Amino acid sequence: MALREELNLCAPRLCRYARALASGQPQPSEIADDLVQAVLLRTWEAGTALRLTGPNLHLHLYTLLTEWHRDKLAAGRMGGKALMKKENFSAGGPRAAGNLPVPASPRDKFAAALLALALEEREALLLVVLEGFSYAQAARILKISRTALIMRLTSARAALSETTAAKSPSRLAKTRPSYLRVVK
Amino acid sequence: MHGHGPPVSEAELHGLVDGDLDSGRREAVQAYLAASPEDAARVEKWRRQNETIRAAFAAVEQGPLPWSLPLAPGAGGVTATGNAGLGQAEARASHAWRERWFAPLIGLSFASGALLAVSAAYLAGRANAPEAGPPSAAAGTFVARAMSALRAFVPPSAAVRLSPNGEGPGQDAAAPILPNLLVDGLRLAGVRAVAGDQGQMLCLIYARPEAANFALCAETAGDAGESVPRVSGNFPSAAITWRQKRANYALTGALPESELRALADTARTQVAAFDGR
Repeated sequence: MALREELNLCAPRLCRYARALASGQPQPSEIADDLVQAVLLRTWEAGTALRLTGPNLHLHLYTLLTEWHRDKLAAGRMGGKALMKKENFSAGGPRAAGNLPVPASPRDKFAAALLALALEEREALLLVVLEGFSYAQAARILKISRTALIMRLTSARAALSETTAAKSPSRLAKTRPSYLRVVK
Repeated sequence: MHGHGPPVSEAELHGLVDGDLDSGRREAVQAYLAASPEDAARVEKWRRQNETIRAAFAAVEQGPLPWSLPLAPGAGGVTATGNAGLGQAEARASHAWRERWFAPLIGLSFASGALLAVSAAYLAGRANAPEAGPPSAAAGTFVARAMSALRAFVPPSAAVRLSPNGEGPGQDAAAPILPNLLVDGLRLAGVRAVAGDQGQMLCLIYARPEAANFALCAETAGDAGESVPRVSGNFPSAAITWRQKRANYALTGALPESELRALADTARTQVAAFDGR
């Protein structure tokens, strides 16, 4: 299959991941769509040299997008806080959960819960659950071990349960239960 | 955690939910969950979380992409309002926009490369000041200047030959690329340099039979990042701006939205395919 056809096939999924990662919502997101465009263009321009096809191409696209998203967040922290506020572009984390405005609808509530996750938890959860990557593939994209990936998944799920179950902002401030369990 | 055989680990519980569990361990894990209601409830909660996440974003994959993405439906074709559960009609439309995006990459000739080279050389010498891209706060100014290029424009009475001698600085990769819109009925009426706050902006003025002119403007951008096209103003007097290859672009004129977007797609494709050699 030609590179252009493969990129076309990847584009919707990549867009879905970018929007979930950057804004927590499926609606068009300026930042997410810019990221997708940049990743597709870069891969298209470098496609011949990279010689990537099939699963390797997919992993490359997601790796690039994840890294550039992190870079953008880092640039936002250093360069301007306005970028961080724009379109709920958030690194997330327990503090973010406390700072987020009270969601108006279930959809907003879900987006807020997703954005409240720490960035590394959100990345792991979305790659595995939303994009359907195996643990090995997701770990490769995030450049971490399989064990570290599972720890992030565990943490993300515990936090998501806590956030979505919370009925009042005060519950968000509670300490998360430990996700470490004793295996006999 | 004990089941049949080796103990069941936390990782295996996650693996069961995520489909990343060795088939040989599935029975053991399920047997363990049958005997452990607390963990079974936890696993069930994870399953519901997975379903919620997938359902929340299902529309993105099944629906059309925003036209502004490089591989997405553009003007005159598929709109961004299609439904999920696409049939053959949408599949054909999808194929059409893909072909439209890439076909020019194959067939581009840049027949009027001479004009591009001269324009690029002009801008390379003039526009060196760093400037924010169209998505930033400077976008309004950029669009306003782009729109001003159309004011009281009088086409030259005679064609002006702009052929370079081939030794000019038109190959400068830092200079904005000005695409040539070879669309039926369009005529390049002239080129206008518009003074800006930071350097010069060059505008290609196109004339259409029995219709108002429109302009394609470009100026050097300080930011190397690229942005998707965005609409400023209201149709029919709107502008589409984007940043590409270190240049800010604006396409403006009294055109229907679909036509303006189609032209913007064509311009972006040509700029993307330009290799400067």
